[in-house]
Parts: sequence; C-alpha cells; structure tokens
Amino acid sequence: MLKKDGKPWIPRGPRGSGNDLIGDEALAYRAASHSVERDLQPLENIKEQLNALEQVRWERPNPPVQETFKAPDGTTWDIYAHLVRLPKSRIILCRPRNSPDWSVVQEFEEGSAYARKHGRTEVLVQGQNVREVVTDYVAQANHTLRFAERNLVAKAQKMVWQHFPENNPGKIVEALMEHCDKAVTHNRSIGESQTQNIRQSRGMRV
Amino acid sequence: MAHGITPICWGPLENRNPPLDRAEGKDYFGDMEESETFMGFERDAPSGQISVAEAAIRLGLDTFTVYSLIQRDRLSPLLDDDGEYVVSEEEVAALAQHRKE
Repeated sequence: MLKKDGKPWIPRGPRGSGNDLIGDEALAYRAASHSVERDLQPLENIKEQLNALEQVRWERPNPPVQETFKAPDGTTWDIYAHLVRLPKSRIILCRPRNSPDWSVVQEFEEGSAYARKHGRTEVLVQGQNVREVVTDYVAQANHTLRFAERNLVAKAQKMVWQHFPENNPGKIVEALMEHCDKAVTHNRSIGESQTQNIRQSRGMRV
Repeated sequence: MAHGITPICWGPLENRNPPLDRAEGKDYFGDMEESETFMGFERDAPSGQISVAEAAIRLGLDTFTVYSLIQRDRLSPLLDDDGEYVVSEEEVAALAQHRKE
C-alpha cells in the first residue's frame, strides 16, 4: 500500500481534492474493498462477456448449429451460440428446429433445486430478428448487473458503518461505490440507454 | 478484444463452453464457484427473510440469476432496514419445492 507521511494512503480524484484516503480510512477501505471484491468479481466477469456480445455481427444467412437439445414437450432445439457462462448456468442462443423464432435460453445446472421444479431450460427473450433478440437480452442482463451492483454497495455500506464508524465511513462508502460502479458499467452509454428502454417496455420494478 | 475474452461468434465448436450435460459438465461448474459470502462481515437477515446469496444457495443458482428472477417478478424484493434487498424465505422455498410425483 502507498504511504504518505508514513501513513497508508489511497489517492483518489484530482490532487488536493481532499478525496484521498489516509491512515485508518485507507486501512478500512482496503478491508472493505477486499470483501466487496469477492462478490464483485463474478459481476465483472459477466460484464466482460456482455461487452463481447456487443461486438458480434449476428446477421448471417446460414449459421451453423453447435448442439441440440430436446425440450420436455419433445421439440428439438438447435443451439447456435453460447452467449454467457454463469457460475451455475449458461445462456444460449437457439431456436426450435424449423422455426423462424430465435430465443435466448438459460440452461440450468442439472439437479439444482430450481431446475428440478421448473425444468432445465427457460426462455428469456424471443423474437424473429436475431440481433434484436440478443440486444434485448444484453440490455436485460446489464440491468440485472446494475441491480446486483447496487445491492452490493448497500451491503458494503452496512458493513462499513458497523465496523469502521470512526474512520470517516461516508468517504469510504463513496470510494467503494465508485469502485463498484466502474467494474460493472464501463460500457455505460450503451448500457444505460438500453436499461432505460427495458424499464419502460417491461415495467420492471427494480 | 478487450480483457482477453474470447469473441463469441458463429462458427466451429472449439473455444466454446462445453454443454452442461456432457461428461466435463461437473468441472465446468466447479471452476466457476462463486464466493457468495461477504467475507467475515455477513449478518443474518431478519426472520423470514434471506439474503440474495442465501437464496441462490437454496435454489442451486448463482446470485446473478436470483437478481434476474427478482427483476422478472418471480421473487419479490424486500428492502431491509439497512437498504439491502433481501427476499422472502417462503417464496424461495416455494420456488425450490419439489414437484409431487
């Protein structure tokens, strides 16, 4: 850790702005950010995968089928792309054989309590235009990321005020918020406008 | 490509995620285990409410998926006294309940 005048030091913002964390503030921030990091890392990983999806040219005349699976109703689904890998499931782009409708589907880990009750696959987005279907999913997922990040900040805030009430907790929380925000919103202009659309079109509450 | 992520594109199966139901499926999930803990600082939610991380464990899902279930109105978000979203233990149990044969 950097030191200034012999004290732990975390520089923040422009020089002389008063935002630097010094001494016990810096130590408290380090402890808190270490905790946050463990929950933040999976979100960053998802964000990177979503960013990669935004670079793909989805329109292609005859895309190859990667895999197939059979739905409980007997329909065969062709999988064309793996979109996102989550810790206990994966998000795939597919469509029922001989159907023009594209779907983004979440496939859950076999044997999970949720999958046993609701089945292993769940359609998240459907439509005839492949680009729109993927873009819609990415927008939804970005919205979910923001929600998860905000809840993480709320947890961090709770923890900082409980454990470091004497170390300028407001300033530490502000630094943590900035850190979390950067981690999940580095494609901000795209993510925010899409999020707005989703909120309006689907009436999401959170 | 930024951050060393393999670009997702149409094409051959190499470099793609293995299917879940193949032999290597176990490892596929094993190497992505999520911490699900807020190290050393976790406090119990009020009675009848559980954290999103706890809900994820009970449902066999990851926290990101539980957040998406909340956004799709499959679970109701409850705001605890400290401003953190938690969920109802009862609703989680209902989502996880085994189908009667």
